[in-house]
Amino acid sequence: MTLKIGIPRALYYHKFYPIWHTFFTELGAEVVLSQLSDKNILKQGSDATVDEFCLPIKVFFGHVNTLLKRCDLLFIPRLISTEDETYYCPKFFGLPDMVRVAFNDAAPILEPTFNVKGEGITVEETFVDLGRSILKGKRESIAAYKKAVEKQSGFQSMVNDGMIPTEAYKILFHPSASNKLPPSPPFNSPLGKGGYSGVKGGGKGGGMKIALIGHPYNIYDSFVSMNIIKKLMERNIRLMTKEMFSDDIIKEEMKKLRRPVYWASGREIVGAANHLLYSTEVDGIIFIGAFQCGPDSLLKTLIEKEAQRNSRTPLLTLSFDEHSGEAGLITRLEAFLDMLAIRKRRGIAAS
Amino acid sequence: MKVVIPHMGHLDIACRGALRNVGIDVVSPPRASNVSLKLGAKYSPELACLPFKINLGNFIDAINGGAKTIMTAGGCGPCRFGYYSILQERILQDMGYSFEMIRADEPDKLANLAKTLKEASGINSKFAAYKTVYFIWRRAHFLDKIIKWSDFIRPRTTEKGRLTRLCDEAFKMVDAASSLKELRAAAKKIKKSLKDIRIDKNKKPIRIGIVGEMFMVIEPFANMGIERKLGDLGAEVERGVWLSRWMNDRFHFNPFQRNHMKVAKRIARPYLKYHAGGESIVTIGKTIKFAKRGFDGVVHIKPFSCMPELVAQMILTKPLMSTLPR
Repeated sequence: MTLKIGIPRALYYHKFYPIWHTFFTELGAEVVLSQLSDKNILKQGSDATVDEFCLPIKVFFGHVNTLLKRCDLLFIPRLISTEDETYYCPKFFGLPDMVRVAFNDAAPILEPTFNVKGEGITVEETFVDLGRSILKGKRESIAAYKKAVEKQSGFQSMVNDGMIPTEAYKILFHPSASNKLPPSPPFNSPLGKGGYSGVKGGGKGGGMKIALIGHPYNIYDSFVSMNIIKKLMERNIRLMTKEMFSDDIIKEEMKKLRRPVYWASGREIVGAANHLLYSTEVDGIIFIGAFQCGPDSLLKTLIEKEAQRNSRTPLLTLSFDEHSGEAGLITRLEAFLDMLAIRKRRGIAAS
Repeated sequence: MKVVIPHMGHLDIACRGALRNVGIDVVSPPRASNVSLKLGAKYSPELACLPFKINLGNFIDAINGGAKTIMTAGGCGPCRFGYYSILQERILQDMGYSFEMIRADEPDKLANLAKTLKEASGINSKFAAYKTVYFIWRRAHFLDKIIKWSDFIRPRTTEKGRLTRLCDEAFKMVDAASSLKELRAAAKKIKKSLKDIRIDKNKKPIRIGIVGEMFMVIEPFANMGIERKLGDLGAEVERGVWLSRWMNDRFHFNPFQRNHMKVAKRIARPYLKYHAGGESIVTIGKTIKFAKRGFDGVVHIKPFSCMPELVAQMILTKPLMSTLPR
């Protein structure tokens, strides 16, 4: 019988799923994913946590709840730091412990501690440890890890070429996704290589480029972000997200700050936003934050301050919580898009 | 040189006497009030945590009062505190103030503190810088002791007004002491005066532990003087977090004092395996300790949306239920 490892489809699933999935399947385990987020999941998540938590954490707890009976082991990594100079949000540090508190009947939890900055344990060592905890030898684990890293970098290069990560996931994991999971909402766009995904020309707002900046688990979870990706794509807008930026650009932007941002995704968020504010790469930036997100509360201001100086690109900041209404989102989006369209027309008339 | 240190309990008193010796004159901003909090909140990010807003209010007050240099601590994460100073500097600059900010980066390393001190004061000797930090610790330690004593006396005495007055006087005496010798002399006097207060030795007041985020626990404005209020109501209060203890856990000035951080980590381990920044693990460890020592209750104080304490809050429900003797 194969070992069933449950991975909640939330938080850093949206960034690290290729490496996790490949590692476990290479070692002969079966990965069980929770379904797509929906109202029910959020409700169960809110019931299980303290109500002060941010939306993505609540959604995460909801996903864990659906997995409790469906797997032998829950995979909830303790993400502390995976790079030399950044940390994750403190809420991730106690995630497995909090799950144990919230669900008494939780399956045993696989909780590898990724701590590069604090204890100097490399990611590879952590994965070997993780392999050991499901009774696999060092050599097997290292081989699996190498394949997993390859897969992750394959995914990364797809994203760097302009593909939205959710699309990339569909291509990478389609075979297993199609027979076990309800299909994720379809995007109306064929995917073009070497450019941002989306259809070219036509329609209102056609040809416009917009950057969606925010934590991956807020943007790519279609329930949390109320399908903002689909909404924009339906309007024939080409999208860009922070994952598409190379590390060099972000490093360059960090140097301009008095002190680099020390949160892993915060660093990318601020780097990408600050870069785009002064370039002509996109027509507009939409910053998506979660209400009660600690890092976001400061980063939002940092980006807004930068935007107020004399940036070229308009910025819209949206913040989501569990009470957000879809109508509110659509109104704001449309107003923003209209403003961008007018701006573009005037800009062309002026030049 | 005149510098402003934001209010955090008696941090400013602890620093003033020590930094005077190296030529830095510490000015306290006006005690935080609702007016300065409102001012701070107005210019802060709406969802920033409370210490950020109180700090910023302090800075605005201080700069309006003529301060030119602000001394504050930076950090290295993962909690928001590490990024406070950067954003505060930016906000104050955008408000049109001109000032200088001295930032002690990663204040949990002694060498960093000493380095900042050397740069700020212009002294050359490394030894003098370390000595100054040591003296800050000694002062903070003694100030903490005064609070500890008053927490013990308050529920047991009827002379509460006198106790408050004596404590205020004691703080002033410590403030004036600028060498270890003077500090020791002040300590003797303070002890004597506090012993003078009549207490009911047979009284067994209910005991309450206070744990939580450092700033919120030690800054009376932020927690609305909860320590004194509980004491006045007749409860013996014991804090789980102390400024001097925080320093000693990291700098080991007194190697024989217990490393409370380590102890808390050990106790909390079954419930929280990794320190999630802030005081999260101390909160859990201390709460369990208080419960085992038979305390009647524990108050957990945290600013709204504090990330590390939120983790602790979520986990606290479980250890309490299994360890509380009922």
